[in-house]
Amino acid sequence: MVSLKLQIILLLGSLVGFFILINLIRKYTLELKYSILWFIVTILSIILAIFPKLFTYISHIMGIELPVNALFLLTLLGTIMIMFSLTLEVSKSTIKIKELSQEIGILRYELEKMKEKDHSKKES
Amino acid sequence: MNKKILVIIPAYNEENNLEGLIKSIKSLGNPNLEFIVINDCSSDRTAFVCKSLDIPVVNLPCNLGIGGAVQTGYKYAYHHHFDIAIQVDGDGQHKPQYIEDIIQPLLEDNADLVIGSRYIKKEGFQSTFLRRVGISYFSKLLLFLTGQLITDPTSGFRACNRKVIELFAKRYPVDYPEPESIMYLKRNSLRVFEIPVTMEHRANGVSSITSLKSVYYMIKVSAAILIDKFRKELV
Repeated sequence: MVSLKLQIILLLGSLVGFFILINLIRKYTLELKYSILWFIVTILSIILAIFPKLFTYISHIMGIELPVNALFLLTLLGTIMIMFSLTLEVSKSTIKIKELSQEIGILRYELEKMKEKDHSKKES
Repeated sequence: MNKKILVIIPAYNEENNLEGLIKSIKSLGNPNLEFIVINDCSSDRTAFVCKSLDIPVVNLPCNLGIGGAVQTGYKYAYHHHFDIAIQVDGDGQHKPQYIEDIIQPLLEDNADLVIGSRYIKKEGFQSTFLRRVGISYFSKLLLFLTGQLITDPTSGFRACNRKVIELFAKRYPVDYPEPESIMYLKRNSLRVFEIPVTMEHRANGVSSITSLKSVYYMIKVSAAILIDKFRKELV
């Protein structure tokens, strides 16, 4: 069984997380695209904190004796999934930054060349 | 036959080497030959040196590493319709007098990529023993996977035709690009050819590959080559 203490800690933690999340979205800091994943995570943890019986059920399905262990395993898996999606986003961003830098470098060079041409035209 | 030729010179902190290199490229006296320095966000005075000597230079806003820098050159060659692009390192290792030899197979349309190799005639600077062990390992790996012997797969002294410029402008490996890009071209059934050259010891500055990084380099490039072998799509 999940103890009452752990239940309270879980509930408080996920509620705080939920309000931080809402606040960040309200202030346009967090993009909605990435926030949906965290929304699901916090809402799930709130539900689980209110109905700890669900743990017993889940751990029974997964063949785990102690419900707390099911909680740890699921948290770990969720974290790994989120981390992987972040790595994916970082890779995509790296490629985008590379393409942008190359483009900026070439454009700046061409702009300077055009400026020079313009300048020499005006002088002559 | 007036083919537009571009010499791509990737440079990272090469303020002392560029002037001599540009001078010897100019002394070739080929009117179709243009060159461009890709300054990979150097922390020294490379940008200033290029400006004061009136060398055409693309200054990248952030450091992209050798692959990203060279690809900038290929993109430039692609946008400005060059027929041939030649890579020459900014550190003075590669001697411009071989440029005519290296583009010859391209002009005769016998190859799509020509690599200047130190290990055909085995003359000049041959690199350190450990580096040679690594190079022969990549050479054997590529021989096994492509069936073609490339004696100097890490050589950055290379020339390619329009077809390869288009490919490289679209996709080019990032960190240590040379061996992987050979696999990439062979997978697309393009012709790779080697010609003998001699190289110099680096004139000034330090190589980008230190001994600590070399283990990482071996593992990463091996993985990159193997993964590339199993890619299905063409580009």
